[in-house]
Amino acid sequence: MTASLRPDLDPRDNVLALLSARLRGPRRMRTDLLTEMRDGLDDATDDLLASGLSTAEARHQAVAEFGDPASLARELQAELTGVQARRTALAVALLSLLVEAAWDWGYPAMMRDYWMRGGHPTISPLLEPLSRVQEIAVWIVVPLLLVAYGSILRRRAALRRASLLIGLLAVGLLSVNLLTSGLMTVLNPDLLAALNGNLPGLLLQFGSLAVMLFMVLSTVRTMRLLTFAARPVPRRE
Amino acid sequence: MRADDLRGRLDAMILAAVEHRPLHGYAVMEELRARSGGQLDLPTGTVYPALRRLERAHQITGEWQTVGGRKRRTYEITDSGRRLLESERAAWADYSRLMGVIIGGAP
Repeated sequence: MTASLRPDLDPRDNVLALLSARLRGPRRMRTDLLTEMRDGLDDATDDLLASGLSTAEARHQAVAEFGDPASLARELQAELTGVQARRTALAVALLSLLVEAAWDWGYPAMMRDYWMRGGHPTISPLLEPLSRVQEIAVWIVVPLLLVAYGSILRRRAALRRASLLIGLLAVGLLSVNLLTSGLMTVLNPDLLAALNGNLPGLLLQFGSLAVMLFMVLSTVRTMRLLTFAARPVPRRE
Repeated sequence: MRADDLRGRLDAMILAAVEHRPLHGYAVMEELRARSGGQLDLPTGTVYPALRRLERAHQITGEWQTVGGRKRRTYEITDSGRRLLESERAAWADYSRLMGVIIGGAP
């Protein structure tokens, strides 16, 4: 979406419309930023009116002193992207650990229940290595995500690089998880039979799918913001 | 003073502005202008990303307040911000002394 200057509008509204069109990210923070900048422009206008300028002059002067909206949008977009990246880092790190622990506990219990109901679980030789790959990916990526999360909070200058690192780590971990989970489901014909009539097992299966979807959506949001933030921003004419 | 020279020190300047009382964004710029005797020439908008940057690093905290019917976000320095300000002050004093000797002709 682009916004262009409209000479018939209050220049303060024009600047805020330009900024609004160039900012993406968590809605509340975005709204707060725009409200805060509107407040600053109103304060500046009030001061200039008090100094003797006309209303139109004061509004134009306030906007002129405000600075270039394009460079401001770049810096603010980095902050918005950072907030989304932090959410993704925390969600992917903690939920991946939770899902891993839930399956470590839940899968043997589910198969035991299946066996006690007369089923005969067949074990594919590939299940164990796939499960190991998933586990290793979680144990490598989760600490890195938490380090990147911490560096965003501790270091003022690390924002863009840490956000990108979080996005790439989350994409990598979720890709491995989705691939290995899909393969393990295909290679395990007893899984559907074991789930039949097993409420905890069904909760585990559908809960994991819901959690996975949530992590994917959060990661997609972060990657979209990183792509958006990397676009060249046209400067104000 | 050139804007580029000032930008590198903007975070420290903002911490100094809110050191003794909470201020909102525009009041921060006004405080800096007043302290500089009107010589500070930074676009007023530059304060907003800097405030968010400092808030992210827990060096200030922001809170919405309604003053005179207008919503304002005011910022207060944290203990971590005070420590950073002290270290920035010490670094600036060293830098200033060094530059004074090298290019200022000071003894």
